Amino acid sequence: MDPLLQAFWLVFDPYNLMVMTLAGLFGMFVGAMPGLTATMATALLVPVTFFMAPVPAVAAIVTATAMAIFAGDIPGALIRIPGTPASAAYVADSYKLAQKGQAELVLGCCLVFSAIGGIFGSLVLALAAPALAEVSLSFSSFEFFWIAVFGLTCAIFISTGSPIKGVVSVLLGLFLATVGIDPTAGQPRFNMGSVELMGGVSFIPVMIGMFAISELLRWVLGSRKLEALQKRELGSVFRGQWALFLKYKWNTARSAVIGVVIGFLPGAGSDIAAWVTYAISKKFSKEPEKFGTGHIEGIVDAGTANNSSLSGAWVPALVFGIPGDSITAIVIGVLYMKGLNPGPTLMLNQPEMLYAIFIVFMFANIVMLPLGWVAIKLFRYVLNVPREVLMPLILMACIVGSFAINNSLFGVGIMLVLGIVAYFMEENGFPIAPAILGLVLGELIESSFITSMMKANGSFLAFFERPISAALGVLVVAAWIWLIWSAVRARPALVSEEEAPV
Amino acid sequence: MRVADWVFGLILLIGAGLILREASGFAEMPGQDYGPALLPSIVAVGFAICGLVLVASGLRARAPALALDPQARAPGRLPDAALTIGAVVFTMLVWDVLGFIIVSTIVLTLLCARFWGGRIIPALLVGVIGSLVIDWLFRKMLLVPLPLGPFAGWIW
Repeated sequence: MDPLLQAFWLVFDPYNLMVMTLAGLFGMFVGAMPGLTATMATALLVPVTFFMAPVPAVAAIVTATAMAIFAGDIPGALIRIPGTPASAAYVADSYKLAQKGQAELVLGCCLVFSAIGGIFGSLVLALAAPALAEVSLSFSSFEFFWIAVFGLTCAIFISTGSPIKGVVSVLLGLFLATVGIDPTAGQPRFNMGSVELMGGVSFIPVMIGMFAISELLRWVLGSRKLEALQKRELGSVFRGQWALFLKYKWNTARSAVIGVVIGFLPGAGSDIAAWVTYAISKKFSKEPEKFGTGHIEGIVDAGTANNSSLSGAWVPALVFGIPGDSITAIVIGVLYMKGLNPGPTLMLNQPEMLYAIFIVFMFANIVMLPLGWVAIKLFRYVLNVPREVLMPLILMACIVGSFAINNSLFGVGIMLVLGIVAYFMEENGFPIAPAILGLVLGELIESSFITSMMKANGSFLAFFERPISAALGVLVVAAWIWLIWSAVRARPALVSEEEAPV
Repeated sequence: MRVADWVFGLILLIGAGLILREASGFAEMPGQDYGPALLPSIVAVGFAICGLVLVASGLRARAPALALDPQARAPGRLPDAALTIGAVVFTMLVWDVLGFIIVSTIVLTLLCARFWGGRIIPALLVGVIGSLVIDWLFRKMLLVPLPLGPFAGWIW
């Protein structure tokens, strides 16, 4: 059978459709609930997808994350608390517009432009992934080494705050990746005599700990107060959207493209896409003074970009096995567990799977329109679910999920330790996403380096002998020189700033 | 909870030392300069450099080793955090002895009652129903072998 037809068959299977609907509702709920993020939704879904066939597993994650990123806009507009970090960039505008009585327009705009961004991202994914996969078929261990190092470099570059803290985060991830039997010589490393650590630190408990437990702790130690929701019936959210699209069609196109590109870059996800496009929108707007006071333009831009980056992040994940953001980092773990090893050979061996993933993306973004409409209507009830009850239930789900991966309590221990570590890291300006990238890419970096060195008889110059490898290598080296140079240059300013009050 | 940069720096320096000591004992690859010790050593050197930078910048900033955010200083916040972490440890300790349903009911009821301002009866309902739902979902539907405890051979 034709792989495309086969893919449709896989996606439009009743079981898969049921999974997508449930995952969509779950994503809506998590996204709309302030304090729970799209990444957390993914981490909580993984133990469940563990027991599904590959296509429903991927479909569940894609649908849930797409919905969660949109649904994060709802509490942002109505109670001024972004449901997920990806909505934070334009929360001032959306809340003020809603206060002015334009809640329908804002929510509809978030929904429609999220869907447009998502559909554009899916198209790029469907077109770019196979083309890139073809190129990457000629890659050897040299190129993969550089791509993985480039991924980590990007993660440090893009992470907000001090680059040195980004480096620490990456190193922590790399260190966790070295625990267990080493891939080349079979030497057990850092297992402290434990047989379970011999197999390495399992990926899923780390994710659940770093993204769910740390957030739980932040909630426990945070203010826990929510602003009251204005009681008002919402009218039609789709009215006026077409006019908005016509007015801002260039903004939409620009932000969709920027979103996808940011999604490509490892370590940068939808939240960064939203911030960047919001800033660009303000810069090129005819009325920049209106930004932040309840202006729809920035919402159009950032709302489009955060969803298009979501699909963009899947391109490097599927083609090279290098995650574009923390959600795809989790996804790569799931793909490996399902025997769908991400990388160029996926296209050759299982094209129907790849097509199925593209169709799922497209379909999820279309289904977002009706599901999002429902979510807007039901939001008041979501907010009525007391988080005091929800948080203990999430904690128990995390415990069971971490247990379920290997049916051992060891995973629960890993989850707890890394959850506490991640809490302290985030509270003190250490980004988390680079650590996850380090953990995912550690083995690839190590094994591709050692294999390359064996091939080259120990000559490091071999990394610059193949054209693509040389180009990537130069890029990485240049990025590092720039990074170190800017860190050194920034230092004196820091000192004088602190000494100024004296 | 704010921890000063120099504390992180010290932890990194100690970590770097431990990693290097452990890595020096790793087997070498015959006929190769690079083996299992390579990546851990790179990580350790990186930790050491970052640790030194953080110690230096942290000392210059003169921040206290540990400081609480105003929100976390609200009464009951720290005990709540300790209770949350304690709940996970407790779950791990009695997991096999009591079985999932009992452990989960205890933990959920306790945490709900605590966070929810002492509403015991609703918390107990959440505990019992929540535990049964999670047990049904994971053990019955997803076939995760959650421990049964005294309920061996019963339910679902």
